[in-house]
Amino acid sequence: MRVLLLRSLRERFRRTVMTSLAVVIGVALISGTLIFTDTISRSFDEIGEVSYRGVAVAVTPAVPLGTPSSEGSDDDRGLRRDAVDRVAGARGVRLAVGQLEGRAIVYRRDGRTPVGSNGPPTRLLSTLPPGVGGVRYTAGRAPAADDEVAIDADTAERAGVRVGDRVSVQGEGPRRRLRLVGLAGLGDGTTFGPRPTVLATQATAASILRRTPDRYWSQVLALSASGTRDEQVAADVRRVVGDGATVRTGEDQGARQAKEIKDRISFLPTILLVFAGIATFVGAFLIFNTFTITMAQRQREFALLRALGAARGQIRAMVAAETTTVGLLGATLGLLAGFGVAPGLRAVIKALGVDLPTTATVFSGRTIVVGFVVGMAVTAAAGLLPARRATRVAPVEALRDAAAPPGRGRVPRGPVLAGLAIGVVGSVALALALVGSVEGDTGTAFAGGGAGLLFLAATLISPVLVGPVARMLGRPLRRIFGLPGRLAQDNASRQPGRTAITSSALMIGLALVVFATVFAAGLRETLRGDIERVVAAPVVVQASGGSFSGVPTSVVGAVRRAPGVTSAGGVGFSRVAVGGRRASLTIFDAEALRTGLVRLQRTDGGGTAGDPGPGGAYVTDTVAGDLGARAGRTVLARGTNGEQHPLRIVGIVKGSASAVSGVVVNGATAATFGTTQPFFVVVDGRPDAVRRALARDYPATEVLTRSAWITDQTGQVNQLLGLVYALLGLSVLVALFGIVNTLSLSIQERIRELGLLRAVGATRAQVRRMVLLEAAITALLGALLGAALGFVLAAAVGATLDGFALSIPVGQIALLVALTGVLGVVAAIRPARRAARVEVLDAIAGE
Amino acid sequence: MVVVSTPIVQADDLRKTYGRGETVVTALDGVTVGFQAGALAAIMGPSGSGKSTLMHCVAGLDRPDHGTVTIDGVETGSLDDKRLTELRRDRIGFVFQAFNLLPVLTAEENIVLPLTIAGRKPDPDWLEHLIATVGLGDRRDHRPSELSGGQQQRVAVARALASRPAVIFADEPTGNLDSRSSEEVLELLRRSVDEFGQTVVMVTHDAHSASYADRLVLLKDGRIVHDGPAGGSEAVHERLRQVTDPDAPNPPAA
Ligand SMILES: Nc1ncnc2c1ncn2[C@@H]1O[C@H](COP(=O)(O)OP(=O)(O)O)[C@@H](O)[C@H]1O
Ligand SMILES: [Mg+2]
Repeated sequence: MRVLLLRSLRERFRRTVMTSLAVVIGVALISGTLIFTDTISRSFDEIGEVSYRGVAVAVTPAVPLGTPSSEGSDDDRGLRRDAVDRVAGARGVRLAVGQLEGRAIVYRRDGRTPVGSNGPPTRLLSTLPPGVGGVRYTAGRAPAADDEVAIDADTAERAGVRVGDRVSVQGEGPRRRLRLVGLAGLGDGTTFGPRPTVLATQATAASILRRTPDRYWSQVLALSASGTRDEQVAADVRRVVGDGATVRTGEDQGARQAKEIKDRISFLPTILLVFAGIATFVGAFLIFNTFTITMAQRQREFALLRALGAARGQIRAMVAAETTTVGLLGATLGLLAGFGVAPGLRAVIKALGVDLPTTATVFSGRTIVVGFVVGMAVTAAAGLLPARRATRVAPVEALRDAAAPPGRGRVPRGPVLAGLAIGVVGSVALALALVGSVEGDTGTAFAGGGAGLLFLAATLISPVLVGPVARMLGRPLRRIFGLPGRLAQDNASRQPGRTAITSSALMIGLALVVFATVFAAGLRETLRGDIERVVAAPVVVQASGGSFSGVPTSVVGAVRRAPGVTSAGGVGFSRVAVGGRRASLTIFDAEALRTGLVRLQRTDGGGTAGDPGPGGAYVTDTVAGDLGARAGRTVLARGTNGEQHPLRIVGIVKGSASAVSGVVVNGATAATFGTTQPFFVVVDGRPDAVRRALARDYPATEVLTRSAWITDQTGQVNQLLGLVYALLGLSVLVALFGIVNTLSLSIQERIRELGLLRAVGATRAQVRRMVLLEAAITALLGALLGAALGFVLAAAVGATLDGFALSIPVGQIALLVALTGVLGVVAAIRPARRAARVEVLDAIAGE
Repeated sequence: MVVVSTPIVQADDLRKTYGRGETVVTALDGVTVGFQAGALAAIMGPSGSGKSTLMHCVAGLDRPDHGTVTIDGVETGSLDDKRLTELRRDRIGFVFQAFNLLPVLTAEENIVLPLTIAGRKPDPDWLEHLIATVGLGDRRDHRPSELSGGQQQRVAVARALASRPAVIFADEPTGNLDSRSSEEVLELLRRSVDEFGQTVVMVTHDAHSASYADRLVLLKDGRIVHDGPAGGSEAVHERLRQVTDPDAPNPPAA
């Protein structure tokens, strides 16, 4: 049997490799993601460690609301200026130094174009005395005078500036021109991790960032006298700084900082793993189909073995060994490919504007184990059914007439019924997750599992649909292409199960693509509706390109001074804690609310909400219940500066996820909670006048009319959609492999038919066309099913979202379906060419 | 036996070898033969004598190493693949030993297949006549898997006749059939010659089959060793015995 196994693996080497490919892609993505994650994780650990090397104690403003989040920036928190003296006075402290850190903009050589970043915004750091912290200068020196800066090498390169050049930097005030005196790096590396960094003296940094004595240091670092333990020093420092600040040892703070960054980007590996999982799931379909077909083709071989006395178990063992080989091969190749995927992922993310630091590649044992387990498990699961079927063959089959390919298969009822049942279970699971009966990780599992079951159900049911859909698609094909169209339709529906599985692989990819498309369209419309309802200002000023970093604080004043501007106000976002519950904080300058530049719909008593006044707040209807807020009540709220103030609830306003959420206060109230930085500015005035007023000092802002701004905001959804498309493209690729594989196998099976067609006068072109059209039908079948399923999923998810405006991008979906058909045809080019090359004699002699 | 009219299929000095060096096999060793219109010719010979190779070369399925083939006035050696395919489609009919029909098509669709491939509509009267002749009136919408072996071969014969080709080549058309079904298929080929004036060249190894033919061509070791009228099955048997018996002297080729 061993000889037979080896011989048969060698005979089918190409097929084995092709089948393994389905595993390779999935495993490569998974292991690549793991390698990548481990590598950047270690890099951040190293950065954290290097940054606090030699630092005994680090004092930072207390983070009262847990870890930083996407809601607003954390850069405007600060310790009082005298904190550094108090730390210096603690026992065991040899030297205390303060450091400033805040958001900034670096301009290119022209002084007008900001060095863009899709990732974390650029930061400005004040310098530390030599020997404190991990900053090294790879060229030039540290900034020492008021008009000097250093930039990290990567940013300097992107800005196109060299040491000695003048470079424009902007913080919360007007742009400043400074002299670049050095290129900085961290430790042995040349970057500061993903965040572009500018270094300036403390005085320069404070002026650029507009720091005030009561909100000054971002951190105070203490160096200890020899012979002290860091923990002991930390305890002593804690005693002197009070509870507005957090005191950690340098080592702790480094680890903490690394963890914070890792938490912030933890969504990335999760997303990548989800998409890798989808590709693997699709790959399983491919393996299943390949095994099913090859086993069917080898029925006679197995029957002969049985007739010659092989036990059923022996055949099963042989098939199992072949399956295992495919799994092992796929997992091994996948792990190797993972090495290539990891730097590829980094390159892609870098191309998107985020340069994640990587040290030496980390290839952990976990990666190997996961890779092999996934590869083997998927292959085993997909190969189980075909293997069982193979071993059930009766010895008499060997004596039957030459195994002619079946004329037209019938669809067995069993799997279809099972599919319906699975579909019901999947729908229920999905519904439970969507209406929120199950929450958190269980909810996510229910949603993902439910969707997976729906796909499985659709796959099991789809053989029934193969015939009708093929007929529907076949009619025009017949009219246009004649016989090749006719035969393509028949060939596609002669083994409905096989066609169904091949197209199901595509169906999954397309369902997700359509889901994302429909969902994104809905999101866009929802966003548009929300913004249109709230923002009435004819002009909006935002950071160039709608960057997440917001506009400098002083822009609001500059806009107000512009000729013809009657009113203007900043809009910002942050967060607060009310009664221990965290809530979003939405900030509108009083002027914006008073003059109707923004309109908040009151849900208690109707009308539009005005300025809530100092210490006053509106609460959105979406969270009012959670926060126990009622008009007239006063609640205690804690801000990002750690300070607690009473908030008088003035009324309830209509909330929306994208524009107004949580607690709404005016700018003055927000400042007492530690938030001063606006994201954009709403203006009543003429755009060109505003533009002229901002041109000199604020080149990194853009002045848009209301409609242009709304289009720009909603357009950001498209960028995300593009990313999702790219990731789903991988599973579509796997599915296309499936078409190639299935067609190749079918052609091999139908070689005599092809020969006969050629003998009675079909040209090579006709044969080629026939195969291509069969692929088109298969692909379109998957595309149509996928589009329908994706649409239903999007509608279901959208229905559970408050105020989600479902819209049907008909044109886009039609384009996707057509594109899939074209891709199917492209995938079939090689098999079709092979079919056209069949020689008549080989076919009729080939028994 | 000398026939006066010019043959519709003419092969001159065909040579074909397979393999190389030690293992070289000469399948055709200078075969010159012509087939007249409106006649049924049988090619016989021991297994491996080159019958199939001759048929493949003459029918344009294969190219000889040397020699020329002319079908209906067209010299096939100079045709490219596309022209040759069209020639097969329009001027030649085929009946193979097995696997003649596309399983996805019905009997009727299989019959008109060459016409469909050419993008032509069949003449309805001719089609009806054909289907009636092959006796499949009630089976025209059945698929091959629903037909017996004999019925399948009759469909194949009807298909070969459908485009009214210059010549039909049949390679052991009854090789897989029981005697009754064989009878029906041979009857059908005979009638197509007698009633429609069809030209048929049939390869067979069965003397009874050959007795349906007008003419008998005997091959041995890639050479024609006899060419003459077929006669009854007794006569064919006698010829065969002479050829295959190693002791018997080779009769001179006609
Ligand atoms: N494709 C091939 N490759 C090698 N030898 C072949 C091939 N086809 C036929 N032959 C050889 O050529 C000779 C004639 O074969 P064939 O024409 O099939 O004989 P017949 O049909 O009379 O049995 C035989 O010796 C056969 O082995
Ligand atoms: Mg033969």
